Amino acid sequence: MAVGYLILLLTYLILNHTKLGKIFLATAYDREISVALGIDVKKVYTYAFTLGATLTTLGGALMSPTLSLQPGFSTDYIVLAFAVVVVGGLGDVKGAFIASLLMAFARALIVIVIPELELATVFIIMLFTILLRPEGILKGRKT
Amino acid sequence: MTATTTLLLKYFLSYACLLVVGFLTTRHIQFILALALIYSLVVIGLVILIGYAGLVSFGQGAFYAIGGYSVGLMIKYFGIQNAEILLILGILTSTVMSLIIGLACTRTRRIAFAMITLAFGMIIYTILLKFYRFTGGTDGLRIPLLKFGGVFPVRGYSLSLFNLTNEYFIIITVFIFILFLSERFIHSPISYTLRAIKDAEVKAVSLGISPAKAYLIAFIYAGFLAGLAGTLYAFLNAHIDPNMTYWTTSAEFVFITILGGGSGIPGAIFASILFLFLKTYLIAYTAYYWQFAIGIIFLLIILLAPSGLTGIIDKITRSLKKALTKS
Repeated sequence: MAVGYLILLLTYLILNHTKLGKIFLATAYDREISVALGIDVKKVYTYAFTLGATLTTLGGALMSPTLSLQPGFSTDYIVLAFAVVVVGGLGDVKGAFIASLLMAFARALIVIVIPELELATVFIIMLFTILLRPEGILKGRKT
Repeated sequence: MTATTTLLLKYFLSYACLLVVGFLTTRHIQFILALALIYSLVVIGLVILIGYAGLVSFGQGAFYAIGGYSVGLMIKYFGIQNAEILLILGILTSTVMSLIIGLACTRTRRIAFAMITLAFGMIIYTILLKFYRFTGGTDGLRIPLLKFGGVFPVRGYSLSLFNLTNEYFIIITVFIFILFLSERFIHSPISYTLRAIKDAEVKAVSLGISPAKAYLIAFIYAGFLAGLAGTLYAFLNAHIDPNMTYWTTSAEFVFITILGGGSGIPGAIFASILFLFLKTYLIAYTAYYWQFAIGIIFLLIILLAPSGLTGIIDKITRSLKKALTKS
């Protein structure tokens, strides 16, 4: 739990308050202009991929003591991760945190009311977020 | 020889080739080949979406399952036993559903499009999975032996032409027809419109093209192909389950499209055949390492030939032509 918060804070700081984070954002926003400004885009992609893989590995390592593991169990989590990222907004660490809490509580509530729709809730929230708030729930409506 | 006769000859020859393969091979090989052709129907739809429209859909499995389940549910709740009626109903359901889903999906682009189609696919998966009293849940539904026009069963040996099975005959017939239809679709104005939008959307809009309409038509066509494939899969496999719309199935279709090169119909067909035969026979020869082996083979293809099987086929035909003109 504590490790999770620490990693969250660290990732948030790296992405929002360092030069590396700014370079990440710039590359994601416009690849060609970043190249023109002298950013090594290939290196940035490698860093971003490495960071993502590291965080995923940490997630798996932190989860293993409490949940059962089997090969191929990742397929369930990868779609949930996609859903959380989309709902939180791409490139938004704060949004992802809030979205993951929202998803978990929404599932927990729905399972009491309509048990059949428990898993579908995540994807229904994801669907309406993409249609109504393409930038993520924290950002305003796109004009 | 005019262009039309060459084209007709091409389809006739491919049909004859597929028939001859059916005469000579066992039922097992025909089953895998028929499954590969069913896969290639979905992949042709994805080639149009990815290669021509530039939209990566992770929800083709949804229409695949809608086609399959419309057959299963019609049999379960309405007792329809005519294969031709079920085929038409399956196509109609999936086309209507792709219109409804497409209206929402085609408002988005790129990652958002991939995510929204993924969301739709997973919503349909959870509905099929959780409303088990209605859909059979994880057990899926069994499809009884159906008959065309009350006489011609969809599975079995009633044709008595060497080894040719009915299911293989039906699927290659539909397949050749769809091949013709898709070729026409690729050479239609709508496909040129799609390519124009893919290259420069702003420019295309300023020329008076409506991207939403063109995208919707491409989406509906891909949904129709996937639905047809699902219906045929229900006939072939006699059993359907919710995994048809799980995201790994949809991702498998996208993967085959990438393997085929994502820009041409022949690549799509050969990629589906290669994928299914490799998957089947690698299990036989490398019992515990088949996923490892399949991963290595596909990694090599993608790293060494970025334009997929289409690129490889092009290279071979070009060098063959060169060799022929030299001699």
